[in-house]
Amino acid sequence: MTIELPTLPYNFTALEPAMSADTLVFHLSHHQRGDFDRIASLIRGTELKALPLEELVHVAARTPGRRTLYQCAAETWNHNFFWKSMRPGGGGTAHGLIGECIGAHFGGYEQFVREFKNAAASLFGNGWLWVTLKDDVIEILTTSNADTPIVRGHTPSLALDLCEHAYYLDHQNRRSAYVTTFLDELVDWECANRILRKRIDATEALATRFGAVTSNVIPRVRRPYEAP
Amino acid sequence: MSLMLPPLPYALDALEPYISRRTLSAHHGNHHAAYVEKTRVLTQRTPLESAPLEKVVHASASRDSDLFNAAAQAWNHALYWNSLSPGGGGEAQGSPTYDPDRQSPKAPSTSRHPPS
Repeated sequence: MTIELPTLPYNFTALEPAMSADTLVFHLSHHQRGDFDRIASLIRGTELKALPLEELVHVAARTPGRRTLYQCAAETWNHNFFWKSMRPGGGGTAHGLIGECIGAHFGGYEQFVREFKNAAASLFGNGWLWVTLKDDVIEILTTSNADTPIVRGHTPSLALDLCEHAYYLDHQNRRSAYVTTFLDELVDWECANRILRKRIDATEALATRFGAVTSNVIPRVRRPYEAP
Repeated sequence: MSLMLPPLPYALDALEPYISRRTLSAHHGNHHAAYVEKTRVLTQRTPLESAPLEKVVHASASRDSDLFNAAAQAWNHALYWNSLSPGGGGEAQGSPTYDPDRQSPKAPSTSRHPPS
C-alpha cells in the first residue's frame, strides 16, 4: 500500500491551549487511524493498493459499490489537509494572497469571518467547512460527513473539521466557540497562500505558453450557498 | 400548544456510572433542547404551529430539510431517553415471547425473523 500512516505536522501538545493534546490524540490515533485501517483492509489484494491517496479518493468516488472505500479515503484526505490548515501560534487576520482575495471579494476580513461562522453554524450534523477555489472563484462551502470537494473540481485552500469528535473534548456542544478559536488561534494562512500561489503560477505559465491575456489572476469570489 | 422539551424519565445521575450526569446534562439540556427549540421556531406562524411533533416530522420529510432535521432529532431523542433505564441492560425480557407451539392471536408479527 502506498498510503502512509497519518501523522501530524506538529506534536500533540503544540496547539495547546487552543486545541488540547487529548483532542489531537483521540482525533488522529483513533478516529483517523480507524479510517486508515479500513482503507488498508478494503484495498488489500486489489489493484487499488498501488494508488496514492488522492487518486484513490477519485477512483472510489466514481466506482459503483465502493461507497465505504470512498468515505474512508475522503475522510483521510480531508484530515491530512485539515492538519495542515492549522499551526502553533496561528490565527488572526488573513494576510498575503488569501488576505487580498478576502479583502477584495468578501468586503473585508470581518465580513469573511461572519460568512465563515454562518456556514459552520448552518451545517447539520457532521461534516467539513472549506475555503476553496474552483474556476478561479473563491468560495466558502460545507460538505456533509466524509464528502470532499476535490471530487467536484474544487481546490481546497483551507479545511475545518466540523465533526463533534473534533471539538467535543474542548468545547462540548459549542461549535461556534471552536470555530472562533480556529480563526483566532489556529488557522495557518500560509497554507492557503502556498496553494493560491501555486494556482496563480500555473495560470500564468499557461498564459505565457498559449498567449492568453490574464489581467486579473486573483480569484473571483462566490458567496456561500450560491448555486455552483 | 407549542412544543416543549420532555423531561428525562429519570434523574440526571440515575444512569451513572455508565452515562455520566455531565453527558446527560449536555445531551438533554443542550442538544435535545436545541432541536425542540429549533422545531418550535421553524413552525411558528405556520399551519404546523400547534401540530404534535410526530406530525411535524411526517409533514416535513423530504420537503423542508431544516425543519425535518430538527423535528426528527427531537422525536428520536424523546424515544432514546425511554430506551434507557437505571439498572437496565441484559437479556431482553417480557412477553409476548415468540413460541412457535403456542401462537396466540395476540402474538406480534414475527415476519422479520420467521421460524425456519
